[in-house]
Amino acid sequence: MNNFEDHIKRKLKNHTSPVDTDALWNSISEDIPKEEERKKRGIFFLFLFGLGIAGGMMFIYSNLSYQGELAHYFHKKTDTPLLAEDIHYENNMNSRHDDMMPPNFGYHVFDNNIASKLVTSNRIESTQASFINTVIFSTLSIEKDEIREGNSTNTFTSKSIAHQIEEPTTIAKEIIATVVQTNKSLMPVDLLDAEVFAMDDETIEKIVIEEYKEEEEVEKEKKKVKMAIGFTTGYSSSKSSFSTDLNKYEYYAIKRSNLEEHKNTMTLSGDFVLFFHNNIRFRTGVEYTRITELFSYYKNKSSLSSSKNSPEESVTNSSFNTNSSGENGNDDDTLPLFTSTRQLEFQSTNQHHFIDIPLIVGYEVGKKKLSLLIETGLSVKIRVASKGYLFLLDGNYANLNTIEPIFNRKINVASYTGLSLNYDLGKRTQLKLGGHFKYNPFSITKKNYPVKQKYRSTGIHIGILHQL
Amino acid sequence: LTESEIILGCQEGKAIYQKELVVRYSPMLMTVCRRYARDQESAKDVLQEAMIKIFRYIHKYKPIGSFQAWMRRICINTALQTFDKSCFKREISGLDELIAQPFSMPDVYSYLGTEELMVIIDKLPEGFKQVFNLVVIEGFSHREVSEVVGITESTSRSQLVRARNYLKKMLVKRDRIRV
Repeated sequence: MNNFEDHIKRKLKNHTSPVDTDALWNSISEDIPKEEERKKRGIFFLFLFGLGIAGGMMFIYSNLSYQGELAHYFHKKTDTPLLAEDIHYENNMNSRHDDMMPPNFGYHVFDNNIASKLVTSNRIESTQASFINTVIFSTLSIEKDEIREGNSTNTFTSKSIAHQIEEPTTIAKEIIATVVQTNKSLMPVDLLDAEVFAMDDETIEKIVIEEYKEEEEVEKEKKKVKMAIGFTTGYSSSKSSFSTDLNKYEYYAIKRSNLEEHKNTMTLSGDFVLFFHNNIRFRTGVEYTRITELFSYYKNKSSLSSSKNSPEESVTNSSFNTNSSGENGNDDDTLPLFTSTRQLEFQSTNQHHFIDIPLIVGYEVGKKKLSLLIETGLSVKIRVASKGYLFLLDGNYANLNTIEPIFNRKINVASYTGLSLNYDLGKRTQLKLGGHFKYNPFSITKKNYPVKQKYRSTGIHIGILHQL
Repeated sequence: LTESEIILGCQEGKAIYQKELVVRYSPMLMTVCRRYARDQESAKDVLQEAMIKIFRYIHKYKPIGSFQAWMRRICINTALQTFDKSCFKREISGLDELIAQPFSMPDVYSYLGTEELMVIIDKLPEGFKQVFNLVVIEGFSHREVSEVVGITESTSRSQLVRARNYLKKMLVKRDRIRV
């Protein structure tokens, strides 16, 4: 490319041509997509969200038909010893917790700091720029205040400037006119239409009022709380502290293991999120959790035994303090031993279904494509159903549904802490990946029940959010 | 309002941001349209059509490249869609000789204002003008021109060389008048 073409390219690349923007806007405004269409799309996503919730509820309902498995072991001869660790221990378990302004040079200069640009490009001197900015900035500030307070006096340009300095209007016009004349090729200055000088004060005032309203609307828009809906799913692994009082209930023991220990337990939740302008968000929604566990119930038996090879296994028990296995290596088959044994009464695979309502506050660090989200809050845990059987204090077992009032709390509270990475898939859609920790400080059983169960769970989650 | 705020607002279909885009960028885009359209009225039509396209497809815009370049490209494509390609159907024999000729442009161009330059370029025959604009102003390669306009690379080269010669003649003529 030669000098001539360089010259042309440089001159034409940023050249602007006058356009009647109002007429152009009027001619195209009917044909371009509006916010309403976006809202329709939002309603569609809301419908999908509702559909997801309905699906989730159907899933829960279908699970409620599950009947706990019950295996009888009455009078079974193979007794197993009652061990101390059977009485009080913790057990792993998985769970599903789971400007150009209208042609108004004053505003233009004010907003785009044209004077500074002109100085930068060596078009005018800094003293001229300072003068232009001072005059017009002051004028506009005064005028806007007047309009805001309802005291406007149709004196936008000339009279307001006159308040500031002597013969200001003439000087300001001369400077602007000079700038316009000498810098036609400079894009912003091209927009300083000489017609502005011909405008009457009333017209200019209308323009200023209009601009002021638009500014207010933009500010409101920025502060508006935005809403989003989404889905989250994840794995969760939980532990439960599980205890009973040995001294009071020594005639039985409960052993629990987790059926889903080696399974990928899924959490499914529908989220509703409110975004505030200061990077803070509030999340709530509905989350479904299912816990499946296997209970084995043993009953204590005491007997006099003379042989270490008794089919009933002995137990280390503070009440009897006998042990036929001879831990000290001193086996003596001839001495009669008073042993305590346990007999497996029955086993039950129990299920508890929970609906969690999270009330989580989050803070988003960084507003780029990738951001970090720190969340903390509470989760209200509502137990919707339990299926299975439970051993009673009188030595019998009963269906959970019939003894529920004395067993489970209907509503519980869990604390929640989470850390996630958010990735913007688009302007409105966000992908979330992270980990969380939940802790139930209260036992899910009532005070009068000897078994105390407190859950804490850690898990990972992945989710998607769509801004409405 | 920053450019990214305007883009975001337009992507959300908010009228206030859409109008701001029109006000802020239409003068720049009008220049692009004027260069490719036959006359001022056609340029207005092209700008109107291009603006509608910009708003329809702005949700697909990814902030990888320049937003202004993206809008310029839409304007160019819109202008070229209505363009009659028959004006390119000229003989291309003797192209090598044309390219081999030394090219020197009279210095008169340095005295010309932007509007005057635009008027001179606008006087070029249609085919010359389009290729000159695409290659010199927009920086397209001949391959890109061939894809956008639907002509061969050879035709693009020949049109550019002829456009240069045509411009040279006009500038020499103008220089004589000036002197």
